[in-house]
Amino acid sequence: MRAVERGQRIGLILSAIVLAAVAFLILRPDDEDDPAPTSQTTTVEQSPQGEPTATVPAPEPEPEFAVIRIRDGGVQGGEQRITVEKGDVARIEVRADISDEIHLHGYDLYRDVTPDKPARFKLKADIEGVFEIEAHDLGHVIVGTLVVEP
Amino acid sequence: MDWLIAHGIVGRSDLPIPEWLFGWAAALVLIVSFVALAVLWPEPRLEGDRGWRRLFGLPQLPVDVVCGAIGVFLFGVTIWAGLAGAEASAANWAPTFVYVIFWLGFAVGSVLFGDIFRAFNPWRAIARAVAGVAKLARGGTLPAPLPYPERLGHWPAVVGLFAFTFMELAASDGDLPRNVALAALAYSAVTWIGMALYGIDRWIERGEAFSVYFNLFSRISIWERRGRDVGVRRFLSGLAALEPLPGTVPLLAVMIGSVTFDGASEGKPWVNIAPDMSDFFQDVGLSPENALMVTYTIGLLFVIGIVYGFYRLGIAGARTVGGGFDSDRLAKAFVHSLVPIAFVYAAAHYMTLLLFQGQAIWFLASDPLGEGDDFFGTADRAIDYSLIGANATWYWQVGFVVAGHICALILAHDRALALYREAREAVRSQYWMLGVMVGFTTLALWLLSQANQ
Repeated sequence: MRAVERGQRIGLILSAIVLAAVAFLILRPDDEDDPAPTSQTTTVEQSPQGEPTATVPAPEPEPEFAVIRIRDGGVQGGEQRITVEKGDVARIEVRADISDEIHLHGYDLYRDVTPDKPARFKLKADIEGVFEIEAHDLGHVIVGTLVVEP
Repeated sequence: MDWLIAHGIVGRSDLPIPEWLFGWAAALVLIVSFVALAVLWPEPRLEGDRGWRRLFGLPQLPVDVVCGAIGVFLFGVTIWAGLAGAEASAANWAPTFVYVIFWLGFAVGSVLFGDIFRAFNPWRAIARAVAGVAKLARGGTLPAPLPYPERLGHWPAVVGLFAFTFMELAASDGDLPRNVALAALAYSAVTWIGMALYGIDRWIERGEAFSVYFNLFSRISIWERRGRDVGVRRFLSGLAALEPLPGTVPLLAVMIGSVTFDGASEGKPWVNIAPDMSDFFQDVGLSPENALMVTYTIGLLFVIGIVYGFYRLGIAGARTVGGGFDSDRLAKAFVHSLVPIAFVYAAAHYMTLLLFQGQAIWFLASDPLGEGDDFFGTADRAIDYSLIGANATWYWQVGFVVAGHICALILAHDRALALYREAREAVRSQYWMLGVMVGFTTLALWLLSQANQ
């Protein structure tokens, strides 16, 4: 083993700490540079299943709800992901061709859905994390996730 | 299509660590590693350090009786709730107690306070009580246990831990209360047979999966009990004193591999592959549930195999530097350095599960069966998900992973100095071990950056 002087060791450790701190500062996104808090950033991928009915956009009242559609025992377009930032208001609407109870985990909200009446969640997203939206009677299927980013 | 079968009891999952933090942490790991190579001590310090300073005495029998009774009581509640309670994982005491409080709580407790599970171990407590009664009935003596076969080593614990992680991560309905209770009963039977054959203490040391698992983590702690006395030892010297047995390397591979798989199964690659695999097994005639279980079992075994193979690859590299050791000897010599890595994998991955789902035990205690009871007036409590935010979670996770990396480097370095006669060989063997550690640590960070995407 190469002998290293005590002073050299301390110097190495110190320079490593400085290096790590510099890397941290450079890589860390500067919060100050962020534009003013953005309004709700709701992203829901609509994937048409080739059905002509899906092309008619219903005129939604402002602001829009992110829509999850349950049909034939599954979610249209697969599990939906709804992303909002902390502090924003999340608006989620679940439509289904069956009657079910929809559970938003974490926030622990329950809403009933019927073929006639969608389940609507409107909540202030004040807990960060990834939360599942689950259809209880459909065999506890996860129909979507609410992602609340810091 | 419930791909989150393993997380039937989870209300909130972690956000992936952002790219910039991933990059910074990976850079930090590299900096730390190279600085370590230069500044770590030139003489072994942990090896053979059995130093220990007594702090206070602890009456052995009363502590064992009280803690054992608590352990047996909680074990009993778990079996009772699992068999008699509501068949819903989130509303029943059993799944949360087993997968969160017991499995994760004792892991953290072992690192903080030492080998506390030994005292609370319900199987040990019951076996000792039975042995005591049998001894009285027979007039003072019991037949001597069979000698524990050397080749068996830690293998029973490997099988036991794999079975547990299979229940947790791959079995369909492994989180259902009834299945939890039945598995616990089956495991109890195996444990007591092992204890009856080879003696209680021997089986605890080598065969009983949870004792072996928590004992490994407790070696990270500074606390050590010797007879009636509790004292402190040098940090990490408990791991340096670990005696590797046949099966110890696979044991660590199961420990690291299972958490890796749990993390990877949240990420995109697995989420894309799993449905295709599952479809394939359905085409060969399996039910959808079994097809999913087989798919997850293959994934779990595959990742454990990768972890094992990667470690053996590093060992094969270290062997090329000379010293005349066979690879089996070398693999055992450095296996203790994987223990901190295994712990930080679990700590980073399950921290929020323990912090959040752990709170559920307060209302589950009041209503263990999930039938609307309120024994302690806490049944209405809810989980406070705002306890820790995403940013703090990320920093803790990265902190754990980097700390584990440093501990592993120190342990491997110290062992190399003691193992190799030539200082140059010791250093060169460490290039390979460093590669293994950096690989595991970057993998841990990558998994955190892939979580729930």
